[in-house]
Amino acid sequence: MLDSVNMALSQLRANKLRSVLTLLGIIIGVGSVVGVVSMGEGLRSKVMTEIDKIGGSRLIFVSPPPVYYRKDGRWTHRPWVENLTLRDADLILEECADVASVIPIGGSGETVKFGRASTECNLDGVRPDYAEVMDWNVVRGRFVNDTDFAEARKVVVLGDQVKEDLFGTREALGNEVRIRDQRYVVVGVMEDKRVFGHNWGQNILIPLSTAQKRIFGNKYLNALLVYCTDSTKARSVNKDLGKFFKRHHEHGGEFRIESAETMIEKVDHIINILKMVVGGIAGVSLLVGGIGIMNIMLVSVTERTREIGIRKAIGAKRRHILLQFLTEAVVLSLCGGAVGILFGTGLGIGISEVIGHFAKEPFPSKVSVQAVAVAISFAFLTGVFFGVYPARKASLLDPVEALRYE
Amino acid sequence: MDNGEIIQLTEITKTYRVGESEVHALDGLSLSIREGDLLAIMGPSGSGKSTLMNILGCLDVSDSGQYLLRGTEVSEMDEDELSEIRNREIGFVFQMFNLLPRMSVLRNVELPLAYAGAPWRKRRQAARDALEQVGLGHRTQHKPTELSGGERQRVAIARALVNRPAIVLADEPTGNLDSKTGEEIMKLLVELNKQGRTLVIVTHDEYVAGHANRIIRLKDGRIQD
Repeated sequence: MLDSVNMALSQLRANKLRSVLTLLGIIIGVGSVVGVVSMGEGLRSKVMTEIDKIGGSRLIFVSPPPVYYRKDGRWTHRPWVENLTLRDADLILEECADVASVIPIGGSGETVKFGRASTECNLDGVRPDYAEVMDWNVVRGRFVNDTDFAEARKVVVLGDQVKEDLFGTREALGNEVRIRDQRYVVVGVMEDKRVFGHNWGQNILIPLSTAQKRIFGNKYLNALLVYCTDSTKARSVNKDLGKFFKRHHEHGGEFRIESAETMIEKVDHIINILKMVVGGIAGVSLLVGGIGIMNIMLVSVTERTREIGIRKAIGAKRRHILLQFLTEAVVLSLCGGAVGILFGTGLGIGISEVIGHFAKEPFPSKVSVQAVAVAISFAFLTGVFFGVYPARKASLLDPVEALRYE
Repeated sequence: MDNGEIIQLTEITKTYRVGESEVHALDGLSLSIREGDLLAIMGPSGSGKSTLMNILGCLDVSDSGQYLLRGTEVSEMDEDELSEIRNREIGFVFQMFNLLPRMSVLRNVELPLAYAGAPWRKRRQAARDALEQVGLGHRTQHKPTELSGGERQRVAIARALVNRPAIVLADEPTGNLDSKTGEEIMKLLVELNKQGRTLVIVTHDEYVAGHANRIIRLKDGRIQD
């Protein structure tokens, strides 16, 4: 057996160019599988780490039914409107089990000014528990507190980017900034935080009560972030929320309730489609590669007819010859597989670099052990499948004829 | 079988079809070979020499007749059984040497033992011994292409001996060598015969046949008296 592997390798070395050309199909097949799966795994782990930044799989995202919906191929305004309010937030906490906290999200795009400086920002109305639950902390001053919220005070906490734009290196705390010509006192500055490439430094946070009264002019929320006590509870809380909205709203079934899990499922779905497409390419490549291997093995059998005759004369049985040529075919395709894995890893890293370059943040490529194993097994099976016919042909050669072959 | 016969051919026939006509390569040939014989088979081309050689070497089987090799009937064997018999009982020495070019000398000589399934250590030792016996104990790691014709034929002889076969069949063993080297090879073969090896040499060279203690001449698939 070891002899056969050695023989196969020396056979490969003896015909380097021929071997490489033959193996191109296998290399491309295995390479594309490993490359794309690595990229997919990279994407997945990226999504996971980003989701972890905002509470991970404990998070369930609730938003009201969109005002427009698609009907008969065109966007149509709904005849009814449903809204989320703080009451929903409080009732969820009361009625649903395993909910740790509910963060109301209400925001709008605003211009904030200080002196002659001004900047665009995203204004969020928040409650005092926001910072802790979102794991986003103040670096200077303090966060919105209970009194701010209860009295709807005109205070603001700035994202680091907004602070930079308005104040530069100067002190921001205690100064008054203007939003819609209302004056707000800066009480704190948030730390730097980025999720999914989105810079939270462009946010400013004011008490939700103040925002509803003075900015939005209504009691409606954009969304609720529901945090479960434990990520294993996400599924059941998700179900409970569905029932909750049906109970409290006429069109409760239309509320969008998405857990991190469903986001991950969506990503997985995309990755799976990618995998299938690439699987198709790989299948065709392996088929082509396999035919290449069969071809080269048939050539090899013909070239080495005399060798086969000699081997048979000194006592090789059919199965010895069969095994020898089969081993060669398999070693050949496994070599292609090995080169393909290197090629695919390079491909994955290369594409990830390109994506990372355009997305302006690192996009990791993760070589998947599973993909490597699958690719290698397929290379192996290709070698066996397409190696059997030539090997069998070799094993059936008549020794007298084979010895006479020039 | 009693008087040291290791090969007994009885009424062997072999017919080939060449196009429309039939060629009777062997036509009722009978022959017995005793242990320790050095037999030369001679005859013009077309006399059935090669066919007899193939049948003796169990590379081919006869159409009719009986072939007893050390008491075993081989005419009815299938291909794998013949492989086993060749591996165990027969050593081949070819005119073209027929070594495997990519393997070292030692590996070439080991090969029959590998097919016999001998353990690695035993293989290596037996191959070294056989190479020692033909005077090539110092060139085990060379490739056949690095050797002279005479040396290659010695390697081939070592390979033929390594399994301690019942009989060594040499087909024109000096045909590809100059006369001086050919003489050396013949000396080696005669020496091996003196040590008790049974040898059959197929040749059309009277000088080579002159070393034999028995010569049979073939014509039209029969032995001439």
